[in-house]
Amino acid sequence: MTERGALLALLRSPAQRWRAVTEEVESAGSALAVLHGGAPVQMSLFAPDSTDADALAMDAEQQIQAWEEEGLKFVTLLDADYPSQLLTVHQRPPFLMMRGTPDEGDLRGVAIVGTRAASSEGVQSAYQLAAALAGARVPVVSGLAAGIDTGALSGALSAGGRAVAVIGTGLHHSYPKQNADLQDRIGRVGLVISQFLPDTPPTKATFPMRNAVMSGYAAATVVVEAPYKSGARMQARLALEHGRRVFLLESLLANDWAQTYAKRPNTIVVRSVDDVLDHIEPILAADNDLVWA
Amino acid sequence: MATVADVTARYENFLIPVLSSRDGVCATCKRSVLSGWSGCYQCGRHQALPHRADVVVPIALAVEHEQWTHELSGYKNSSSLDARRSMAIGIGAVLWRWLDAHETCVQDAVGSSDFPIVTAVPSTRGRAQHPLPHLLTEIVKPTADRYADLLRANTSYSPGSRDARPDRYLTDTRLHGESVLLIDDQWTSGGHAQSAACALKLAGAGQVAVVALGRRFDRYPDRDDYRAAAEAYYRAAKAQGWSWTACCMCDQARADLASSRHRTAAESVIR
Repeated sequence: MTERGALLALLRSPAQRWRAVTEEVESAGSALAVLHGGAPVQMSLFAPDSTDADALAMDAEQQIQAWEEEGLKFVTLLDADYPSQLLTVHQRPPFLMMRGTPDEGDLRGVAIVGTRAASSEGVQSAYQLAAALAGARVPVVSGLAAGIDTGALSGALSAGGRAVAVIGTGLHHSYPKQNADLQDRIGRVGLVISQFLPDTPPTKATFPMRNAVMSGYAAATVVVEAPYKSGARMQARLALEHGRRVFLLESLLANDWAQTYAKRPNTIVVRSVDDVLDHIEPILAADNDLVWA
Repeated sequence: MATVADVTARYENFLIPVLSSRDGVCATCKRSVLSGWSGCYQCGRHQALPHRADVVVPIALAVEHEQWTHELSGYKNSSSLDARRSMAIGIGAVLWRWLDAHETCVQDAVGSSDFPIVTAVPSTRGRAQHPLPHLLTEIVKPTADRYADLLRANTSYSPGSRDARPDRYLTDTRLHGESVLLIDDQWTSGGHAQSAACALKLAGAGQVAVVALGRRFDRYPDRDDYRAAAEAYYRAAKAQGWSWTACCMCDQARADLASSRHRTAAESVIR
């Protein structure tokens, strides 16, 4: 019986809310303890007898091993290799699936987000920004959508930097299809992360969920080009609600939403890559000791 | 080195204030209640204790599934030491900044000139090193010198029980009328904090003020009328917005002052 098998078994049970499972397991410090009863979450599910619970956990463990054989990692929020920066946000998923190489240095990562329907200037800005961050050894995190995301991840790779893609589907999918090669490449030289089970298709709900995880995985989010109705604006909101810093590229101020956001605490309007680097260093410096001033 | 102002800036985007006493707000714990009710069911039950806190001051709403609530449990429960430390520093910075601005409001509320003793509601989970005392002694400098480990959980009660009991917590210390600032991370029913306040009073404390980092808040209770009351409260609190210069006690003092001025003005017009 493994903790990760128990967690997957809990999540697989019908009508179970993942958020409730996450909170319960984190609070108990053990998925096995929750699966074997006592915890409130248990009452609301199928109430198996303990042999059933054991069988479900072992079955789930076999599934995880099958994923491992195809090169996918399954990391739960109880595991030491779950990214610690993601544990600090309320939308931490109960597990992450990964293809590639995890790196603790990613807690210094910066997310670059923007619209799929980007202008060529927008894509260019994302590309240059990512390359400059990579040059400063800052990992670049993005969503692997068309447009700004593609520009950012390509820029990081071209500069030989660390690229992390947080995708809105399971790892067996690529969306859009044109980015399948890029996803493959990042899986080989960087890291592709998904909070979904591998066969999960893209849906309207999965992308906003992905934005929450991307915000939590990165130390800060930079919005490059984004209309009001965009996942990028949503990520800016989620990041602020996570207590993360948001950078808005000055050109964004043409949008009303960005002017409103620019007035919020912890938001900084930036003109250049250097601006971003200047304002990012203090965040990345570990804040171990607290002083009044 | 991180400064309190820098660390707390990020909280301004999601902290939600606790409303001061008014219709629809429990006079004790400041949760939402139905219109016309002065107190909530739980605070009513605590009347059975021989002693209770002289005032309860929650700093912010701890809305279920939102960020502040997550941090208030995550600094204890997260599986990663780094994550726990990061959340503890953030929470500590919020407490530090809040006490700097509002400890005098708490003093005024109980009519005490200072709190020479600070202590914490103990964990009932039997952790080796409880994170809250650590926060109060190692992170928040203004409480460090005043902190005393006064209470321990009575192990004859089950850890999960939220009932308020005079002997829920035990102490070997004899107090001599000192005012005590009793810190808790989350006030849910208040059973633990009120039991702790009671134990302190039985041990000889003078005034006891509870400051809770979060007032646990369920936006979606099952009953329709409770849900409507909770939603009205939540909207009012969101509309008020977070400010370091306001707390539910000084808001109250301002409101009282304003209404007394209003009365005086009205009386002078009549004269």
